[in-house]
Amino acid sequence: MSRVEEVFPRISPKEWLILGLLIGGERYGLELVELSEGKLAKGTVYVTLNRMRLKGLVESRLEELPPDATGLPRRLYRPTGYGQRVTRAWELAGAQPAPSGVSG
Amino acid sequence: MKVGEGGESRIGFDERQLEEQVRYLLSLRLKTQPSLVNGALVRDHLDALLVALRNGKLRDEHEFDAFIYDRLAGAGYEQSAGAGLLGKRMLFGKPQRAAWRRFVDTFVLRRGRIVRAPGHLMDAVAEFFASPETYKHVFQELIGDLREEYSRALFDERKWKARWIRFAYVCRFGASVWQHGIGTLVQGFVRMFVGPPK
Repeated sequence: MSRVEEVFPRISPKEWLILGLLIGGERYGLELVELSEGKLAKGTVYVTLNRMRLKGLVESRLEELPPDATGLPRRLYRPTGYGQRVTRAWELAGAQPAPSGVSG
Repeated sequence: MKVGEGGESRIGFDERQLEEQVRYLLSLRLKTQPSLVNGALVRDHLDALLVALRNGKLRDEHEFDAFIYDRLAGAGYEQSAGAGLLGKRMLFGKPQRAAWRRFVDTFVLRRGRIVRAPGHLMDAVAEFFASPETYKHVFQELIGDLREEYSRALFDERKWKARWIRFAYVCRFGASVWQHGIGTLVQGFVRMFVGPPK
């Protein structure tokens, strides 16, 4: 077992892809599906995001709407500081390729 | 006057007044999400309706009624539908039809039938069975997406696509339940045999 594996949780390929997409900025679920070019499914992206939220890799907030707007706002996701550290650690360990949008 | 020219429409109501009234009703309990359709911000069926009205996309009052019924019922107004919809019908100034015609409209042509917003059953099932957190972060988002795509399809007058979207999202809902259930089961086994996560 590598040192990284002892300290940080494993990231599945889907989680890795989502983290890569989120590094570009806050995004909502449907947007992530569209950007993933078929690698993420509409039916399961929220389950994955919820799992990542429970792991502390991402956090979410509700989109702000104008005062006269009706309906529920979208939920926007972004990586947490911990999520970014985990991503960086795995990337440095060479176990995962750099997610798209990650420089260096 | 043609629908969509603003002010009083051809079916005899003040569009702005109706918009305010329906907005108020819908603001009480609405579970939809915003979307962008042809450059206009469309937040739900009501907005899709209003944009469609302005653009003259709705052809007749049956389509209009169907939208309003759908919105009111989708917003949880089925119980008070009697007074509410009667009021709306009077506001529409629609002539009363013969009993046989109402029967045909309701049960054969399904016009003016009270229908709920798409995903209402999935919403109820998820709200009952899932934990509040899971419901909020997984299922409510999924149903929001369904309504967004459904509204887009309706706005584009693609009824069959809208129907297909409803069906596809039932499958996606099933996939979500399956994946969430399997995930929870695996986590339970991991906790049982390996211990809590680090």
